[in-house]
This record gives sequence, C-alpha cells and structure tokens, in this order.
Amino acid sequence: MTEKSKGSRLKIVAAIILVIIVILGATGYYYSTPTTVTSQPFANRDFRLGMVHAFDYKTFIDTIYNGFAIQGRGPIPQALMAYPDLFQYSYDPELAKTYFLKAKDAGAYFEGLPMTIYYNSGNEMRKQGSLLLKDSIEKLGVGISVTVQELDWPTFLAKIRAKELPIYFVGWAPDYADPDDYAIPFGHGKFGTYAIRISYNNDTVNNWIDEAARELDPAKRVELYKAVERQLVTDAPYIWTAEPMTIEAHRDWVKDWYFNPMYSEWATAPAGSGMYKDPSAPHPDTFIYSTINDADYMDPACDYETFGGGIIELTTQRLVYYDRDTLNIVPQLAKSWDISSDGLVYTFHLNENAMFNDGSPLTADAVKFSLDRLVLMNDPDGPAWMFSSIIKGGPEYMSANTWQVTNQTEVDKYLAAGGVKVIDTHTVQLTLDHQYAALLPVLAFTSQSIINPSIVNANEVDKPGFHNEWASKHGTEAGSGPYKMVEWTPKQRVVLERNKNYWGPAPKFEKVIFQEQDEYGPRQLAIMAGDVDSIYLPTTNIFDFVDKDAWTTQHKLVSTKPGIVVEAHPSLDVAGMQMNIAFWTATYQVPKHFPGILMPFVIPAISVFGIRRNRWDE
Amino acid sequence: MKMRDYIARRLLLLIPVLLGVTMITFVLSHMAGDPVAVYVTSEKLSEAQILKIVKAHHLDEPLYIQYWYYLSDLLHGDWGISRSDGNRPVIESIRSYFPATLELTMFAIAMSIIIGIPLGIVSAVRKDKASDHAARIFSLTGVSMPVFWLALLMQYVFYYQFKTMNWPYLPLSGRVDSLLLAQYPLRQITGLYILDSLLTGNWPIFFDAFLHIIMPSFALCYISLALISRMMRSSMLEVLRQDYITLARSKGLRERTVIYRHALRNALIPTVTVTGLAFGGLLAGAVLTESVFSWPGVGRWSTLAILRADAGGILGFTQLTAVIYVLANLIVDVIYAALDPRIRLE
Repeated sequence: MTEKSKGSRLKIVAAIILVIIVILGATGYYYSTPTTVTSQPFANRDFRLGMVHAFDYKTFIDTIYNGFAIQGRGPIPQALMAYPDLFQYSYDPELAKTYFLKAKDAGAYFEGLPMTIYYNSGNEMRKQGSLLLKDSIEKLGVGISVTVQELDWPTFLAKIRAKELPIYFVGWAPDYADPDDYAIPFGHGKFGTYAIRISYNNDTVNNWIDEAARELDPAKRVELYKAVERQLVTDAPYIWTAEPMTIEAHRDWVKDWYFNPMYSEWATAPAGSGMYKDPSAPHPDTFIYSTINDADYMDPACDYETFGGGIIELTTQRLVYYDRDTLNIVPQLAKSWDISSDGLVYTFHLNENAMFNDGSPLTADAVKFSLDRLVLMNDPDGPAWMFSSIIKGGPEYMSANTWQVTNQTEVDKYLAAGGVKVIDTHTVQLTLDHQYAALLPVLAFTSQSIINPSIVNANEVDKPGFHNEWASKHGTEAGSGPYKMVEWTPKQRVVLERNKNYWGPAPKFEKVIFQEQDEYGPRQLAIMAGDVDSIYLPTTNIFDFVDKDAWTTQHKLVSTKPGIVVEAHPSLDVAGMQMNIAFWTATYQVPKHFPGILMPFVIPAISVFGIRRNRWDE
Repeated sequence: MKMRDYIARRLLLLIPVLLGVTMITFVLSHMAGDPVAVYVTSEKLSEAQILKIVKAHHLDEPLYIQYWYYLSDLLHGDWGISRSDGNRPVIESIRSYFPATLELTMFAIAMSIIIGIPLGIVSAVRKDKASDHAARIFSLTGVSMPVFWLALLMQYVFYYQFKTMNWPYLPLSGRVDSLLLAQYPLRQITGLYILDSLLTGNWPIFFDAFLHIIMPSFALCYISLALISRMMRSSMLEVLRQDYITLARSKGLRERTVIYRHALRNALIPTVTVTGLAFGGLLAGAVLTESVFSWPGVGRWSTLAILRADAGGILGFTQLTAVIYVLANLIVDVIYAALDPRIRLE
C-alpha cells in the first residue's frame, strides 16, 4: 500500500466515524428532549373520583381541626338540612389509585402531571388540608406531582374569577338560613358563583335549583335539594372536606349567652336580647369583646363582613329575625304578614310601637327608604344581590351595572316597577320578581336592616350607584336597635351605648365595646386577667383553654382556665376544594421513550442540555 | 454664616428634594402595576367605569402632563383611595393613623436617647470595666431579641403576672382605656393623646395614656437604643483619643468638664445621624409592635394595604415615608450645624 492511499483510507474512516457520532448525537439530543402534551384531567370523572377518594377526611378533621368539625356530605350543611343517607366519599387510597390509573389509560393525563393546589394566605386550616392532599396523592405513585401554593386574598380571588386556578380551597358562610343559599353558589351553572368559576353546568341540576327556589311546599323543596346534593356528589366537582364547628370563649360571669349560627358576631348578638353579667363581675353594666379585624362600613347597604355585621345587628333591626338559638323566623319590625296565593306579593304589617333611637316612629316610609337605597346603591362587592335578585325590578337594575355611575333612567325604571310599596303608615308591600321560598330568611340578614331616613338625609343624601360617605361611617347611629353606636376609632374600638328610646324590652348592658386585638396572645391574657368578657378564639388555640385528652377521647369540653367557659356548636359553614373542570388545561412536558441502547448518547445529551425526567425501555 | 441663614438655605433646598421624591413615587406608581389601581374601589368594574377613572385622572395623557396632574393632586390632598381601609381617601387614613405612630415614635426615641447616650458615655469612659461589659450586654440583647417576642413577654410579666399578684400593673394594649375615655371624653386637637390631654387639662386621660405608651415605646426603643449607645461609645472613644482632650486634662480640668464640655459635643455628631435615621425608620411604622399592642398606627395600616394589594394605600404610605425621611435628615443636618460650626461655614 502506498503512503497516500493509507492516509486517504484513514481520512474516510475518520469521516464515517464522525458522521456516526453526529447522527447518534442528534438522535440522543432528540430523545432527550421531552414532548409537550396537553390534557384536561378534571374533565374526566374518574380523575375527579380519584381526587375525592384521595383526601384523608379523618386526619383533616381529627388532627387539623382538632375534632371540631364534621365531614361534609354536600354543599348544604348538615346542621341546616340533615341528609344522613346521602352517600359520602371516604379516604380509600386503593380505590383512588384505581380511578387515577383508569383516567390515565383513557388519556386524561400523562405521567408527570404537575398539579398545584391553591389556598389563601393566613388560613392555616386550608394550608394544612392542601398539604394533606398533596401527601396522599404523591404516595399513590400514579404520576402526579403536587405543589401547594398560597396566594394573598385579592390575587386569589382575582385568579379564581379569571378561572386560572386548577384546584383551590375555599369556604362558604351563610347569609340566610335556607338551602338556596348553598345550592345556587355551588350547583347552579348559570348563576352560582362557584359553579361558574369551575365551569360546572348540569342543566338538570340547574332546573331542580330553580324549581326548589320557587317551590313553596317545604317537603317538596327538601326532596329537590336532596336530588341536587346527590347529583353534586355523583358528579364530584368538589371535595367536601369539612363543616367546621364554631368555638366561643367567655368569662363565666356572662349569663344567658346562646349561639345562633346566623349571627354575624355570635359572641355579642345576645347582648341585644337578655344576655347579662353577674353583678359581682367587674363593670357589670359593660360588655367587652376582643376580636380581630375591623369593620369595612357601618352602612347596612354595603357592609359585607362579620365585624361590621355584628355592629349592625345590635344597632338596627329588620322586618323579621331568627328566634333566639333556632333558625325559626319570627316577627321583629313586622308584627305579621300576608302572602298572596301566587307567592309573589308579601304584605307586612309593622309593629306600631316600633321607633328609631331618636324617638321618631319607624314607619313604612323608612322600610321603603332602606330597601330601595340598598338596591339603588348596587355595590357589586356588597350584599345587595341577595335582595336585588328577587325584588321586582331588581334583577334588571342589577344587570345594568351602574357602579359609580348614576343612571337615572334605570333608577326611574326600578322605582316605577314598584317592588317595595308603601300601603299606609304601617303597611309595606313587597312584590317579587319570581316566586321565592326563602324571602323571609333573606329579610333577616343585616343588609336588609332599616335605618332612619331623616337622619341619613340630614347628613348626606344618597346617590344611586355610589356609597353614602356619611352612612359608611355613621349608619349604625341611625337605627332602631337595642344599642346605638357612639364611637368608632378605626382599628381600635367600637363603642355602643344603650338606646334610651328602645321600643322593645331593655337590654341588660349600658355599654357594649368591641375591641380590636389582632394578636392572639394579648387576647388570651386579657380574658384570663378578666379585663374582657369574651374573645375570638381560633380552633388552632383551643387547647390553651380546654383539656385535650378529655376532648379527643370523650368529646367533652373541660375548661382548664378558671373562670372561663368554652363552647363549641355546629355552624353552617362549609369548606371544600373546587376542581376547575373545563379550564384546567395542563400543558406540560412528558419524557420521550427511547431504546436503552441509545443511553450512552442520551445521557450525555441530558447532562449537556440540562433536560431531565427521561425514560428508557429495554 | 448664621444659624438662621443656614436653616433658611436648607429649607429652600428641601423643595427640589421633595420634588425629586414625588417624581420617584410617580414613576413607581406606573412601573409597579396598573396606575388605575390607585383609584379603584371595587374589583368588579366594567370597561366603561374604568374608562371614566382613566379620563378623570388623566391617565391617558403623556407622562409629563400626568406628572403635573399627579403633583397638583398631591398638593390638593388627593392621594388616592385606600381600598383596604374601607375605601377612605388615603389622606384621611394617614390623618387617622399617623398621630398614633408619631406619639409612639417620639416616646421611643426619647427613651432611647435618654437611656442610650449616657449608656454609651459610661461604656466609653469606663472602657473594659464591669460597667462597660454590662452596658454592652444590655444593648446586644436589644438587637438580638425579636421585638414582638419582647412585647409579648412584657405583656405577660407587667400586665398579667403583676395583675394576678395584685401589684400595680401596666395596661395590656391600646392607647387609652375605653371605659375611662367614656367618662372623661378627650377633645382631640393634634391626635397625640398625651399632648391633647395636657392641653385640655384632662388629667385622668393624660395619666392613663402615659401608662399605655410605656410598654410599646420601650419595646420599640430597644433596638435604636442599642444602636445609639454603641455609636456613642465608639465615637466617644475616638474623641477621647484626640490631642485636645489630652491638652484639656493636662490643663488640670476636672474629668467631668473634659467629658461633658469638650468630648461629648464632638462625639454626638455620628450619633445624631444614627438617631435621625432611627427616628425616620420608626415613623415608618413598627408593625409588629403596633400589632401586639393594638396600636392603631401607620404600620398596621400599611401592612394590611400590602396584604390586600391596596395600590392607593401602598403608594400613599410610600410617599409619606419618603417625606418623613427627608424631613428627618433635614433636622439631623440642622442639629449638626448647631453642634459643629464648621459645617455651617461651608
């Protein structure tokens, strides 16, 4: 062989080896890069069934809620409508695994599905619940990797409204004691806030809910709501985690306190109806309550939180109210009422003795004033929807969306519709937009409170579509309730004084003081030292006040702090996780499968280009 | 130049500085999210309503015109709406919460100066002796302890323990006792309870408000106390090494005269800087102390504004803090000039 041919043969061999390396390298690179897949896991019912069986209800309630909750059965709390036969999911990892794998086979998701569970920051229970679910799912080993993410409340709310979150943890507290208040938000695909946000829309359920709202026969309503619950459980768009109990702590010198789950501030509301302090107690004519947060507004027409609600329920009154510790509706400002045969017209006869705290009589004009201003103000973040959506002319006005714009044509239209009519000084007539079984409980809510038109108008005249700045700060000085607000120092305290012109049985306190103390530690010290009569006690801290063993073993509340009474009652709150059915489109990367023989080329490619999670098959 | 001229000159210079501050906050309000958010009171506004806000606040005009409107709004008292504070105008929130923080801060700073400066002097003069070590341990503890823990501890000891042992005790929280206030209503002039009760001769409230401010201002002062005493110590040591001090001693002056008349004035200069900064920082609102003691100040308001994404409140608070810092620095510079004549001659 010549020198030249040996050299050229070497070059050819080298070139061929180079080409092979390049090809294998390229193949290695190709197989090391993942593909992008999309899927809608929650649209698949088996996937959802996997989720509801993967939540450890017992641990959630026993450990995270310390036993102060019961497992939910559906949207309607069991303290409102008992449905013990309703099928209830239980924590079953094996069954969950089966459902998940079934969903995977059907293509509902692929290996490596990233799921993020969201909750709002500050809520410890929801955080723990989300972490619990994460644990359970990852233990199943079905190819789902879970992250738990907290968001501040405004961002949380905004993203939920924009349907951007796949699964999130929320709760619902009642505004009025009727199954309608739960069925609509969770079940109605067209009007229910929660159902809309997760794109749950089952027309049969919608029709049942509409029918039940209009049905006046209580027995028929119960059957309809049971059907709604059964369907919501079967369709499984929610995980019904818990119905928490309400905890309350007060000094033992506080007498005649009782609990009603419908009160905004359950600790103080009985101060209007007979609660008193033992004469040997410190300052027996003053009741002091220490709690968190502050009021937003003192105007019933726009306030929609519990602190302000607590002030409103002691300083104003409504046409009807709940009877002590029951959910029965009884007269308050109205002494009786007639309902037309078609269920559309309610005529209320006001109690002639009713008067405002300035001594002037409370007449039908005041009722019309208060209810009309609620509708006309139309605060989109407020509670007006409850009444506006059922009174004649209300739905049309509401949908014309007149916030911070006074649309006089719409105002005139609403007033002309005559939903709220004055018949005579002590008779007011409400005409509804459609038959609605829950009108009376709606009228018992704080937003439907009656305030004094002459005092309001003397300070600031209402402008439809706007807040009334004076009423936002002083509305609770113009009511007819057993107390009257005399001081509001923002973020410090609210002071109520006994209404000297109260037309009902005189309350037992001269003063009721709401003190703000966001920190739990000082609240605990204050009640232990006897400087306050009642405090807001979160469930997480309850074992500072009661014996843990007595509760966990015998379900008995035994106080460990002398002089302090702790009570626990079933509430009407529900907590649950909501799965975004249509809008969670999971787009993520799935590793390619490659023949094992390519490993020497794929592995270097992975380390060079930094792409992970690859699989090989032999 | 005379003190009076120096102050006048510095006050004039204040104007461009404050203008600069407003420019920065203006830029911030446009960079950090939607400028409309400052004026939004609800999350459910329609397109038409947002357009109305945009037009009303000239948010669709060129930036320099917007800045002009922004500045005139500020000067007219329109600082936006604080959505987290019941949709009140920001200026009203500030008027409501700032006096509380001011009162607390003044007491805290007074305490840290009254305790800190002598502590620093003692430390320096008796360097490496027992009192020096004790003083340094005292200040170190202050910097190491989390303020809310100290606050809770003080509440537990001075309120709860003292009360249950029937000793005289300090009040738990708040600015004044609710029941006492109802008996002796306070006419508010400045919003500073202690000053107002003094001015209106309301002695029960004066005494009660004073008792209420002791624990929170001590909790708050502990950190700046540490800073001030350390600063004082090191600058005193620096000054005591100087030749003129040796000269003073060799002239036969009493040690007390040497320290207080000659050394102290020079050593105070760096300490004044630290105090000024500490004052500015405290005024920004010590949220942890305010939370534990339920003190309705700007700290709690601004924290809630941040947690609730209240753009108006956050910007208003930023503006306020910037102005406070600028003014605090001005006061510090004036005190400098009073202490060291060389500075005002420059």
